[in-house]
Parts: sequence; C-alpha cells; structure tokens
Amino acid sequence: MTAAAAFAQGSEPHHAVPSGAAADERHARMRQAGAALPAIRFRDVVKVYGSGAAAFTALHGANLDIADNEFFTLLGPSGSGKTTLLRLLAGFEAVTSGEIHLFGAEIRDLPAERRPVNTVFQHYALFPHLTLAQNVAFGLKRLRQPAAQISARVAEMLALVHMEHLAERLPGQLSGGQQQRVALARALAPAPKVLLLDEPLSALDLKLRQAMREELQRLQRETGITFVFVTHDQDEALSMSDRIAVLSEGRIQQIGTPDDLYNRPHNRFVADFIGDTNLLEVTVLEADAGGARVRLSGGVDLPALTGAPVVPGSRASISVRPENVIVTEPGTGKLRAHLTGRSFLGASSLLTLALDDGSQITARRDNRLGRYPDTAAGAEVGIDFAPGALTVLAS
Amino acid sequence: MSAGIGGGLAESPRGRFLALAPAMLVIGIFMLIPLMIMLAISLMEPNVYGGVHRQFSPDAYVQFLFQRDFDDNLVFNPGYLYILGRSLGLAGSATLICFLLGFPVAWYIVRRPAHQRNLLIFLVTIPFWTNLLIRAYAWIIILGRGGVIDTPLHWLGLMGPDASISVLYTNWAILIGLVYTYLPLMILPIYASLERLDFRLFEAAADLYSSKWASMRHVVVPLALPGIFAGVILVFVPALGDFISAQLLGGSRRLMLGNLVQLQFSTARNWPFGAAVAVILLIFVLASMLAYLRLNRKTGLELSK
Repeated sequence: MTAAAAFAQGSEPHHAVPSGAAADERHARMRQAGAALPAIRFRDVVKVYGSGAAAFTALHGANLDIADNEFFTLLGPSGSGKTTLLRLLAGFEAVTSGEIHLFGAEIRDLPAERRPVNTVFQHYALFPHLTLAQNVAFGLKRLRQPAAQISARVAEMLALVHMEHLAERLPGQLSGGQQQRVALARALAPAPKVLLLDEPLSALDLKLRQAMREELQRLQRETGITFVFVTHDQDEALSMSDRIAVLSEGRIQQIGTPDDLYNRPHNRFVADFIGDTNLLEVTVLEADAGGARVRLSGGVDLPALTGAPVVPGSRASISVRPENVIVTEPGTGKLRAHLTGRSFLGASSLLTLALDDGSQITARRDNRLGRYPDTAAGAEVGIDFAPGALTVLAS
Repeated sequence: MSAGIGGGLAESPRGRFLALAPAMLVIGIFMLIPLMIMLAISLMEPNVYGGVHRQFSPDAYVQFLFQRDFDDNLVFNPGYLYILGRSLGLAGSATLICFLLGFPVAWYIVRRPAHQRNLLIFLVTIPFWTNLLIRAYAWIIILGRGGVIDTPLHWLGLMGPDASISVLYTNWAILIGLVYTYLPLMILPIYASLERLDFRLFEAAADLYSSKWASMRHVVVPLALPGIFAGVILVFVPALGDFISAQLLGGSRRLMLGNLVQLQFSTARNWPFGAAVAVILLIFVLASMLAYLRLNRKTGLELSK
C-alpha cells in the first residue's frame, strides 16, 4: 500500500470539525476558500503568560501566513516563542490578543479537541496503557468513526510508518525511533488539515534523526498535508523546509526560503543564528531598493545587497559567509590580510585572516586535492568576495 | 540493606533465614499467633462468665446462621446475615462515595502549583491528628436533634421548631461517618498515582479530539487505576470492620460486624461467637485483598510490559 493511497482515504471530508450549523458553515467556508487562502494566518498574535509583575510576553505581535501544502518551519533558540506559536495553533494555549485563521476561519475560540490539526509531540506522548494500534485509533474513536473504517485506517497508518508488525505492542516496549513513528501515525490517522511537529526529532540519535528527516519529507509530499515544524536545529530546518520563520525573543525575525535566510539575512540575529558568518562594521554611503555601497573602516568601498531598508550615512554591519571570502594572491583582491590560523575540517578548512584595521575574518576553503598551494601562517594574502556575498543587516 | 552486611548474610540459605528472622518473628508474634488464638477460640465452647471451655465445638459458626427453637431444633435465622449485609452494603457504599468525592479532589490538588499541592495534602491529612472518637462525637453534634444543621433551618423557618432532619441514628449517619473517616485514605493513593501522570498525555488526548470527559475516562482513569485500587482497598477493608461510626452515629440497633464482635466479647460474654464473627469478617477482607492483588498485577503487568 502506498502512502498516496493512504492519503486518498485520509482526505475524505473532515470529521474533526464540530457538529452543528455553525460548524457546517465554518467547514463550508474552509472548503470554498480553496487554494488561494493561506492554510494558517497569524495576525498580530500576542501571548502573555501570567499577569502583573510576573507577566511574561512570549510573543510580541506575530504575523505569519503559511500556505496550504507547505513544509513550514519555526526556527529559534529556546525561549524564542516558537513552541508558544505552535501551542496557540494547536489550541493548548489561548491567545492574549490577535487572530489565528485556519483556512480563512477564525479559530481562536475553538478548543483543541475541535481543531482539525494534530500534533506530534516532542516526547511522543503516546498513551502507555494502549497498544500501538489503540494509540493510532484513539483520535478516530473520539471522532466516532465506524469500527471497520477505524481498523482499516489504523492498519494503513501503521504500514505507512512501517510499524504494522508491532501493532499489538505497548509503547513502553519500543525504541525512541519506533515511538516517534507511531506518534506520526497517530497524528496522521485522522487526516488533519495541518500537522504540527514539536521538535519531534530532538530525542533521537544523529543517524536516526537524519533518516527521519527524509521520512518526514516523504510523508509531507505524499500526504499533501501542511506541516508546521518547530525546531532549534538549523540543519533540520534548512534541509527540510519550504520556508522558515526565524524567531528570537518572541519576535519573528525573518520569514523566507532556506536560501533567502542563508544568503539574505535581514538582521544580525538571523545572520548569526543560521550558519557561520563574518560580521564587519561599515558606514552606509548610499542605498536604494535592493543594494547599497558601504565603506569598511579601512576605507575600502564595496557594493552590498540589502534585505531590510538601510539609511545612508548610518553605521551598519554587513554579513559575509566564510565560503564567499576568497583568498587570493598577495596584492590582488579588494583587501589585504595576513593568515593567522587554519583549522582543518576534512572537506574544507577554515582560514583565520587578520585585516589591516585589526579586525578578523574567516574564510572557508574546500580541500579538493591539489587545488590550492599551502599558505604559511603569517603570510600576506589578498581577499576578494564572491558576487553578491555582502549583505547589509538592519541593526 | 547495604551490600557489605546484607550481601554476605544473604548468600547461604541459612544466612538468608537469619537475616529474615527478626521480621518473621515480629509477624509471627504479632499477627499469626493472635490469629491462631482467635481461630481456636472460635471453635470452642463459651464460658458464661467470659473466656472459654477448652472443648471443641462448631456451635459459634452454626449460631451465625441458625438458632435453636424450644424443641432444640435448628432454625434458620437471618439476623446476623442482615448485619453482614449491612456491613458490606455500608462499606461498599462508603467506598464508592469516597471514590466519587476523592478522585476529583486528588485531581484538583495535582493540578495546583507544587507549593499549593503540599499545603492541600497537609490539609487532607489534618483530621488524622484528632482522636477518632472525638471526631465521631462532633458528627453527633452536627447531625443530632437541635444540632448544627437543624438550628439554622429552624431560624430560617424552613422547619418547625420541634422538627429535625432526623439523620442521626440512621444508616445515613453511619455512611456519613464512614465516608468522613476514610476519605483521606482514598485521596492520598489516587493523588500519588495522578502525580506521576504525564500531563502532556492530557494535551495529546485533546489534540486527538477528546473532550475533557473523554480524556478523563480513556486516559487519566486507566493510568490512575493502581492508585484507585489501593484507595478502594484502603477504604473498604477498615470500613467493613468499623464499629465506632455505627456505635456512635447508628444508635444501638444498627450493628455492623465490628459492633457484633465487640458486643460478644463484652456484654454478651460469648467469646467463641465473637471470634467466629471476626473470622468471617477476616475472610471477606482477605477476599478483597486477593482481588486487589490480582487486579493490580494485571494492570501492573500491562503498564510495564
């Protein structure tokens, strides 16, 4: 049985929406809205925990659109608000102010058990007293589906995650990776409109994590369900996502494709959080829609791209990735530097270079055999930048 | 037990016996021997002035079900069976009510922040600090004629000045006394098992379209079963043998098995019959304990499998 076939059944009219006229109307609106509407829309969503002096603002007015069928990732360090965003979406927390729309319908007052979204929890949260089959059937039973339909769906879902042979086991008898698969099957069984994944891979070891990444991508493609994935692991985010929202301190810092975030970070936080980067202090000479000219402290003028608007005459930072810093023959290139250190990483080496103004810059050089002559420590070199490598950051 | 002492002692069978000897001695002296004495007394003839004649006789057990009429024939007498039935009924009802009251209380406490939880559990245990007799007398004042419940009803004119709610000296009063006495013993084990519960499972259930009630029924209660069983046994067993509630709140005519035992050893001076009733009581207690162990092993196995 293929996963595509599994979804063909799963995409029958949805059962998770509450019964009654209001729900029917909401459901109809959801369907009518079609593909043009975003699957999920956050508008000025604020979440404050506690009150008075102990109040803590976990989200400061988040705005976010997630398209249908998208693999969307919320990326940020712990305490950045990414899990809060997910919990608001699942209905485990109530928003303080703002709106959350699911396929055009406002859901902020809908309790968790009435939202057509399912969650894969960080620690799986499988019911320890129920067998795997009963775990997967749990949501379907609460939706009062006919028994025959439930058992067919359970078999299908367990097959989808390759766990059909363990259907009668209890969760306590499984390894972490197996529990993870069952948690996925359980969340996918009711054919949710949106699947929420709360750091589902963080408890697995590295090898398993990488295998599960591919598994998740396959499931997302085959089911066509919108995935909202929370992680603090940038590799996970970059390798799986269609788009990523980077969060820090309760604010969305930037939303974009992995390529955008990596190559066009809007601000210092994003540039620093995703990948390694060099940050250089500059003065902005002139700026227009997409580009700017900046002057390094050493007096060298360089063209740079801008993600967020910058003001001419202001001080700013620019980001340049180590792999875009090109070490050239002495006397050539845009800048002069001295090699101060080198660390060998296997496929590549990181070269530490001291610029004339005293600042440091790191260059990544690949180690294809015979490509570069050995450069002695302390030797003078030139530095050039790949086209479009410099990005001016909003401060 | 430390490996240095216990490990060495426990290695040979003889050493193991020696290590266990103190515990076995205590159990033997304080439990087995008195039980044997009780069993023996129940199979002897009564002495009219108390104590027993050392002569075998099953009369005490016969007396539980039959009485001798004028012609010395045995006639079935259900009087003592009523008392047994009342005891089982009251203990069972008290257990059920304790569960219905205790489970929500335990759930409420376990959902509070940690510092409040300790305070609330402390409050639950406070009644244990007062003598049981005094607490039972307090209920007489509350339930009795012109008591704490009657008086405001008189003031409000809801009841005539001479009327009473007439609860004292009924089975209801005994039931209230039993529930009041044993409720903490239901709350504490249920609390202990709920405290170990992973509350993310509650969220997971809601995420899977479970209403609050369905989550309770399908997730929380099954996982709290060990605590519920423990609470049930901790309430049912002592409630079955209780005699203070019946004696003080039930009046002289509503005996429970415990009262019957006490009566036979004191006023009636029929030690064998008192001992026989105690043995019958013990059989029901043992049966419920065995049922508990069975159930517990079953659910325990399922969870740890």
